[in-house]
Amino acid sequence: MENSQLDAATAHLIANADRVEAEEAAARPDEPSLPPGEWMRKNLFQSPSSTALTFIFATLGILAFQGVLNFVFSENTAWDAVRTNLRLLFTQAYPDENYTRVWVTMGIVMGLAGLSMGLAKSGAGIGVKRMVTWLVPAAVILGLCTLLGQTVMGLALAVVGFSLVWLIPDGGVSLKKIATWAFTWGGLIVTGVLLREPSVLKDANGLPQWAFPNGTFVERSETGTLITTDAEGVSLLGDGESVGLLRESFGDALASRTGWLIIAAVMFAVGAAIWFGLGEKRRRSTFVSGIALGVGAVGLLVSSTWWYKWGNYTFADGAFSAEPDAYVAESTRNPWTYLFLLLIGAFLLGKLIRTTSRAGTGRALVNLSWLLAPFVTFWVVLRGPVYDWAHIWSTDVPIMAAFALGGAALLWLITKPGIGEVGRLVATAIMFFAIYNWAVAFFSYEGLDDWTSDTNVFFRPIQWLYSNVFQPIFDPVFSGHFLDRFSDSIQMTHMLQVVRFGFLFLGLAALLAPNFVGEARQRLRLVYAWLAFSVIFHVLVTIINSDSGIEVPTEDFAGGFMISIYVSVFTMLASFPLGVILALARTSKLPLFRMMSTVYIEAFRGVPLITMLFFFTVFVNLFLPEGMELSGLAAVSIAFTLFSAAYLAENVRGGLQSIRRGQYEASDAMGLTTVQRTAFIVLPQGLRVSIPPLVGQVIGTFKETSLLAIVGVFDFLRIARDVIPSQPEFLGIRKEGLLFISVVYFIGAYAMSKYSQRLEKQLGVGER
Amino acid sequence: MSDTAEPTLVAQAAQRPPFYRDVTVVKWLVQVATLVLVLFALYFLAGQAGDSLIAKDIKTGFDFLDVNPGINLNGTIDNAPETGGRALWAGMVNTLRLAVGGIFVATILGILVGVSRLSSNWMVSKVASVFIEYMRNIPLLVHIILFFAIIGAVEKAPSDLWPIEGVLHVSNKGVSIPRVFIADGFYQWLVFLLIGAVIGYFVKKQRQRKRDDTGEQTYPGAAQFAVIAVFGVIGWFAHPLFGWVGGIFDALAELIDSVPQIAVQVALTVLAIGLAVNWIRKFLNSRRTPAGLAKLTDDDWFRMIFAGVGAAIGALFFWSIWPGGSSWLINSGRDLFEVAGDKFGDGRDGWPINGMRPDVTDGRFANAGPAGLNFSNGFAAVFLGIVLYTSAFIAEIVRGGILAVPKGQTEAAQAIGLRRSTMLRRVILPQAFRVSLPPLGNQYLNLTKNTTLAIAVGATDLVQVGQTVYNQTGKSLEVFGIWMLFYLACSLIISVVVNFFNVRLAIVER
Repeated sequence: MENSQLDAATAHLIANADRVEAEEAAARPDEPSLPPGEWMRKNLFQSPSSTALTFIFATLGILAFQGVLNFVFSENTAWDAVRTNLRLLFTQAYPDENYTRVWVTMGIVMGLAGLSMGLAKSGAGIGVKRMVTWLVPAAVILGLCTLLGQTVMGLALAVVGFSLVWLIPDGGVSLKKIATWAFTWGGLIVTGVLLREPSVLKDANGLPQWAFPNGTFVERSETGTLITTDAEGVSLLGDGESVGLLRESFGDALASRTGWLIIAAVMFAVGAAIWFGLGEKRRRSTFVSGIALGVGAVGLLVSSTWWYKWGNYTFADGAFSAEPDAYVAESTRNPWTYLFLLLIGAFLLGKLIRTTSRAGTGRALVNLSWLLAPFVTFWVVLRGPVYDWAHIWSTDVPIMAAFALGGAALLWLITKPGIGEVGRLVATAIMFFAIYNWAVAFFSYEGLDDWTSDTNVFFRPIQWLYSNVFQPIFDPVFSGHFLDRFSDSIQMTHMLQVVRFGFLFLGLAALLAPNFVGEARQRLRLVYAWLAFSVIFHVLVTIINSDSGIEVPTEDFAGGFMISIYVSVFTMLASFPLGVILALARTSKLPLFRMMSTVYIEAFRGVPLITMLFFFTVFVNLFLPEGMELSGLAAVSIAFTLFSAAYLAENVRGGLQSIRRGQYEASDAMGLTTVQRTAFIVLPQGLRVSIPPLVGQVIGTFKETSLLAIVGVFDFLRIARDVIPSQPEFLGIRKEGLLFISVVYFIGAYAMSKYSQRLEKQLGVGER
Repeated sequence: MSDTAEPTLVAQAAQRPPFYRDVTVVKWLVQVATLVLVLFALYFLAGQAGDSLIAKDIKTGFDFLDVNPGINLNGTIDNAPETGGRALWAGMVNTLRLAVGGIFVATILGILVGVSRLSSNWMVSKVASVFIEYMRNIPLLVHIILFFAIIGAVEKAPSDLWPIEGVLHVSNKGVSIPRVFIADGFYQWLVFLLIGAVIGYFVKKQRQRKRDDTGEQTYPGAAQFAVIAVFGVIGWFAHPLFGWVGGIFDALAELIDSVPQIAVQVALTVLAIGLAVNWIRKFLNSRRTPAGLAKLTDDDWFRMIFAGVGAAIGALFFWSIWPGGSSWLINSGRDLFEVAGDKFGDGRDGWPINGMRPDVTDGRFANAGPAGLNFSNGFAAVFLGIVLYTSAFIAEIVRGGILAVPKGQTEAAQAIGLRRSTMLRRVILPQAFRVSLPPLGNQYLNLTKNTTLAIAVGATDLVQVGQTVYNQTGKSLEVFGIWMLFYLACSLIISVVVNFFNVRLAIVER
């Protein structure tokens, strides 16, 4: 998790275990489903020791579950704190007037999710039998925990236990059966004693109430201690007596939880109806699509906002207002309804596309959109940039056009058949120039305050171009303010930075060019890719460089769950290439590269993430040249990326090492170059093997973002831990929020791990 | 990578490409250029840091380790440390407490949960898997903060019997459990145990030989255990007899103190050069064929030159870069033996090992005197958090290990009529352990690093103390360096230990 990164060895071991278990389940002959009594005897009460274990674990499980339930349904639990602050938790103080931006982001995600689901190859779905085997025990546990009120509960349990044992058909009375009986009763008694309901009554201050043996209240002194002596200091208790916690009565407990009993009964009834309604054969062969189930659940939830009064909790004009008997606010209900309809629409569209011959293209486009979505939603939609059109037309567009068109022409030329060495030489020259630009930029950073004194002579022509060509053109348009802009060193820096990146990417593209030498179609592919890439890149950079128009009290416009998600997505996206490069370097035969990569990986893996985060928040600006500064969030994101890359490299390395020697030898025999071999033979196979640890790492990164709370970012955890408990209405209310974010984290991480299991199955990872 | 192909024909040799097309040369050129670039960038960054520090008027240096930092800690071996170094040491001890205790408890719990997860009993396996999924899928930090909030909300009434009186005490003031501690005379008792172990070893050998010769059952393992136990019991009472052992350590300490610094410097230099020479010799040997030394490629020359350069830098380190290092080594060695001399010193009475139970009066822990092991709330939350969280992962590893044992092993064991327990003990678990060991080691590493989350709940560990120290003294870079070194050392130690067992357990292939 911190260092919750699953290392490759662990991930493979667990993935293998899951596979073995799935195989065993599949290999088991189709046994007929057992009647409940038979099933219990086989799975719960095989032997006396097994019976004892059943009771011990049931007690442990119920105790824990009951503790949670008691807390959740207690009168004293302030769920209002969570209900009211949902927006705060998810998007921090994102201003109401700009909230459409959040909904648009959600819309993009929903639309893409719908399309993806529609386009996905449908799996077998979830078996009805399995659903029932989960539904019924869940109903029983929920019912039991609700019922476990007072000592009466012991009796209830005894009745249940007796009927269980009675249900078990057995031929004759054996020693084993007697022992099982004894253990069952013993277990019941122990369970009954341990499960004494701790549903404690609390006073107005939320403190547990105590009572004397005769049932009268024990008062509290002003300091909060219990008063058990009278004014003279004589104890009010008799010999051997002690005060006890005051507990809810069984009737009260039952009355306050009727709703849950009904839910449990409905669950049980549905399970039983499916079980007996379908019959042995259809029960086994009926599958419900997981997507339908999920969409159905979401639909139910969304539609419930129209017919169920969830209550309206909000801060109206800064004051807390609670209307428990109202519908959810329209500003919540309407967007969610539209989002759900969008999801359905996108899903149907995806299904439609899947039936056509364009399914492959559709899938590729959707995947590309998923890749772009984080950038677009974060910087374009959520950040709400305020565009400086004068600057865009005078600077950004010309630079973009120059790079896109000039680069396209260059790439077209150097992929001409028979170009030979010249292409490579040109590519190398561009790359050298790009690196030179970066070196100069870094080592003479101060010079950039006054851009005309930039020591990089290669920028002189650009300067000339600006003062002699652009200025005469644009000055009339912008009424003489054109060059004024460049007295602003920040904007100048941005421009030069774009040029540097542009040359770097052009160099990389040119180095790739020899692979595309050939007929026109092949050459055009590279040219089109370059055009698309440079347009997207320049547009994004322009947007990122524009100021945010969102006004929030904190430093960053994003916060809450939003920032946790975005930091983990960007971390994964950025650390993937870096990690792959590190892994390749570490498995390379070039000793110095191997050494550098090893030092990097071990250094980052050896220290805790939190110290790296401190380093990047506290010291990083010390290391940067004067005038260059990183914002807190950027510094933290870089720390996450560097850290994650070291782990990712190790995960990928495991995959790379699993590739057999023969693959290398075969590709050598085919005359592939090192780059071709790496790109087309080694990486595809290595990454496939690395899928379990890589998904494990995605989950790990998702969980690790909770550390943002420690280094001062207002993330999901920090809002639940610090912000909500400091609101005057909800002073000190901490556990509720923490429990809520636990559930959200759990859903995210659990869904991902289940998805990875399916992915592994589809790709056949681990099978050789 | 056939770039070092031997030129078998003279003609080929003559066709050697120009240097800028020569794969070997280009390869090394690129590598060296990258290395130089990286080193230069690091040098540049370090220079920037130096400039910034001067600009901000921050003085660097480790002198703060000897100055009173003026801070107060809680729940450490020294709550009012007199020097910065002592404060950091107190933090380190707490980190080690969390790590070592956590590893111990998490392993036991993890194995239990992992085996439960595989049980054929539905209830057992489901409860275990719910526990695992709950712990695994929620960030550790959230767990810790939630535990902290829960423990802080437990209110202690004067006469409430919960939690269990005298064994476990939980309240918003902290958590207290019984403690077992090393008392006077423990080290002398250790000498007895050592002697017992040596004698026991020979007894076992002798009995084994007898069994192998005559074929009668001689219980060698039990005999060895009995011998050690007898010595342990005798030593429990007779340990004051071994007070003189301390004198040996004192003498050793004096001996080390008399070593001149230059001798250590020479020894370290010889070591560095020796390592390089040894490496080159081995390398040349590997290139030796029956027909004599093979022709060395450029690649080989580069390798050997780099080994030499490395040795030279290593030697230079002890002479000019950090000459004080040698005397530091001498001093630490002397201090180590002085401490040992003190511990093994003469004449202690009483039980070598002693225990205490929580001493709670009016909901307060005893501030002084013998009492149970008291944790602050934060410490307890962190400990609980890392133990439960890691044990979920260990459980998964245990399950993975057991399922990784091929099915044929179980079937074979059943075929030769082993009982289920014997089969588990002798066939399944040993093989499962072999597979699980490397990932287990990784989990131990993670656990150690996760102790740093203590800072989120204000429990005292190295990071928390370090932060307090640099807030007081402004020596942030130095503290960060100490953190790095400490955690890297911890990682290294755990890896070495795990690797040691890994090598021992590895299948010896013929």
